[in-house]
Amino acid sequence: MKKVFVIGGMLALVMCCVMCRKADQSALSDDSKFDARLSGGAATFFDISSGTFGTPIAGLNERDAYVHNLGDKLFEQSYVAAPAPRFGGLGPAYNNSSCVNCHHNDGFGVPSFGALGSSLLMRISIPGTDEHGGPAVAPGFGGQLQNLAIFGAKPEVTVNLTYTEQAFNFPDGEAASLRVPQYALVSPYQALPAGHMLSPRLGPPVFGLGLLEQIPESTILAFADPTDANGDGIKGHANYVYNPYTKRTELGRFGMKANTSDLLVQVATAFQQDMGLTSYVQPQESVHGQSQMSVVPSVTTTDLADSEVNAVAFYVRTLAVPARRNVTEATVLRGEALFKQLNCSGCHIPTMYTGVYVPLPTLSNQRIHPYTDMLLHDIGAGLADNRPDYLASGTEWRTPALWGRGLFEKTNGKPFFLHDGRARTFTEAILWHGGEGKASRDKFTQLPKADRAALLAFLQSL
Amino acid sequence: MKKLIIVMGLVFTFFACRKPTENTMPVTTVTSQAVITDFVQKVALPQYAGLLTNATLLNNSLKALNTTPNNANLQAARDAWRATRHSWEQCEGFLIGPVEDNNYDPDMDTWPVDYHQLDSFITTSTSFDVATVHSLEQSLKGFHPLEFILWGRNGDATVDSITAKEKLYMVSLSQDIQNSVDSLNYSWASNGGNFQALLLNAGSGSTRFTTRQEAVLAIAACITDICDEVGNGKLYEPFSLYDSTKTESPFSHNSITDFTNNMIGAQNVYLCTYNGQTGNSLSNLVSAKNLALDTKIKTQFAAAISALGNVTLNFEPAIYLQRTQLQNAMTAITTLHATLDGELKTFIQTYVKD
Repeated sequence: MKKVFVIGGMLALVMCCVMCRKADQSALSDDSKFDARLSGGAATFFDISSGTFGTPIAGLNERDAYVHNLGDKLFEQSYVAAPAPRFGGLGPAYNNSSCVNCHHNDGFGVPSFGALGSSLLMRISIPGTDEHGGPAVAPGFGGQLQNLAIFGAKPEVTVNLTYTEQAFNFPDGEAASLRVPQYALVSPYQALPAGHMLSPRLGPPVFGLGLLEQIPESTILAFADPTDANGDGIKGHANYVYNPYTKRTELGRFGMKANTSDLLVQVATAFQQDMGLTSYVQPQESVHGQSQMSVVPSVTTTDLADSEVNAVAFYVRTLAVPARRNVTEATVLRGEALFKQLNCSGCHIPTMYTGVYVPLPTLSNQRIHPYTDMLLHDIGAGLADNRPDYLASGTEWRTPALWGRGLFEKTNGKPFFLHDGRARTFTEAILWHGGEGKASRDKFTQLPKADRAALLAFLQSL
Repeated sequence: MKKLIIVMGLVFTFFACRKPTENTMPVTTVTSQAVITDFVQKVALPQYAGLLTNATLLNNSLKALNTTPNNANLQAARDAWRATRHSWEQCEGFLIGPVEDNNYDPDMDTWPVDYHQLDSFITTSTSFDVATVHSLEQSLKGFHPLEFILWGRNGDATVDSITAKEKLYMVSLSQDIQNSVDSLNYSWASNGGNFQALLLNAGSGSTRFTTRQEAVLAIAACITDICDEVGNGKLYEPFSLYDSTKTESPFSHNSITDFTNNMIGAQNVYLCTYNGQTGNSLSNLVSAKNLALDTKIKTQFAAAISALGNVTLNFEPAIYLQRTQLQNAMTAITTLHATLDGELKTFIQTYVKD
């Protein structure tokens, strides 16, 4: 009998320990135990100004701070046509002459084509895939239309953008208007290939990307639900894409369709495709194989020094995330609860941890609130580009991070949302959601006006 | 009884000590709203109006040079260019709102000049109208291509060496600058983009500045940022690389004047003064609570401007020949920057609570 008590006692002890452990685990997912303002964990900053998105993460050592600042300068640098004593190599065909012209104040740009502050570009491909499973390039045009050119070359095409307004009325009578974009390609330098597919992209904000790069692949894959096993109408799957530098197929993280795996390739490809600047990562001119190639001076070196590409990649990797504001206001808290009730958080996942990253402790093992699952979702016909990109179908987009979205007016004057900047307000952006986002969107339209305002106040606090 | 007298004496002593302290506490008379309002009305709007006047004169001078090319008109155009730069560089002391949002700064003031493309453009283009020039890359328009033609690549331009095409190009370049400045004024105007309302209504309905503290911090950030740009960018880069091809205004040798005007522009914002008008300033706000800090900032502004004045050569040769003076100027400006970015910002965060 005594033995029974002893064994029972030991069992009770084990159970206590297990219970203790459980309580401890739940503490990690209990938001009330953490400061809700820390969107980027230790990589959060509180100083909110118009240049807010350009703030470096804390804790950079002197050398890292130097490289960050070097990248910052290059990010702002206007490049010019070769031959030039410095900053040459622009074009011959390009979309803009500096990073910052599209990523205004390190944030969004202006949804227009061809002007200096224009931040839209147009991807192009033909049906089929390339040898790595990516989009098949359009002969004579490559994978992206460059709508500006240096003297002596021709822009590949001019893109005209017009909008028609589409009225929307909430059940309670409030009216909204959605802008439906129409794109027309005029004056191509040679005939466009038959059956070409287009996809517009607005230059996105570049802060917080170092944290997104450090989310473990296992975490992202754990969010995936490709068969909708939980029956909530939200699927989500990862993109796997070719990395031209490592020559491997890797998890896609960046780009509107998650078609790029890391920041080095993202930066080098933007230099190459948007500005016509070659580097060790992307050594081919964007007009390679086209008749316009004759305009490129026959030089053997790449346009950018290795250290320049590395510095810009390091710059975007080390941009911190702005802290949330007004997190204790009742309206904001109500909006946050609604965000979860409406299952917006099914794709815009609030909380996750970055992996261990020894070189930059501020990015390492951080509890972050990006409001993305980094996965592809069918978001409906209204937003579809109908242009597949690796595993992303023509209706799928990668869930964009929502952190910092409430500051766009401060950093950019006018805020624009969604992949092509068609939405001018949070309300418009929500109303555009279809496909896997339709159920949440419909519930939003049914909310009383005060609750809709609370949800918007929550988004504004991000 | 004796004890009671001692205790009462002590009590009186404490009261006596306390009262004078209360009486000498400074009284804040400047509100954050007054600082914001006067920044808009006494500094920003009048300076932009002044910039437009000078940009219009610049355009007129290039029209005159185009129709009547002679030495006097070339000199007048160069003087008008310097006068417009004077206004513009002072306006860079407050890069806030539309000038930043709508890229007016890089549209008018990108350097270095892309002279290969500029030559190609002048040689190949058949049209030099304003629309054509407006659609050009940033490195082919604004102040510096104009400077390049007016002075020549080696400072050797003459009335006769400037071609007819170049004169037409310059007329449109200056017209484009004037148009940009006009739009910039309109974007602040109450009957236009009305950016001023976003500042004036800070903390009372402004969507951009939800509190007055945010607006005051934004104004302070302007002067902090320009100190950073001058000290750690415009001066430091050519200096540290021994490279005179990276200077701001190399053809007119106006760089040091540009930098000085940047600092004066920032000082105007801090003191809320322009063109003889003064108003409630950041300086008043600070001195009411922390006289030492206000004095420090004023002294450091004066030191920075005077240190730039000690560079007697043009910036390009000074990079090689007056390194001590340049180093002193950079030190003075970065010292000021540290005060603004540290103590001034902390002061505003501490004392502007509305």
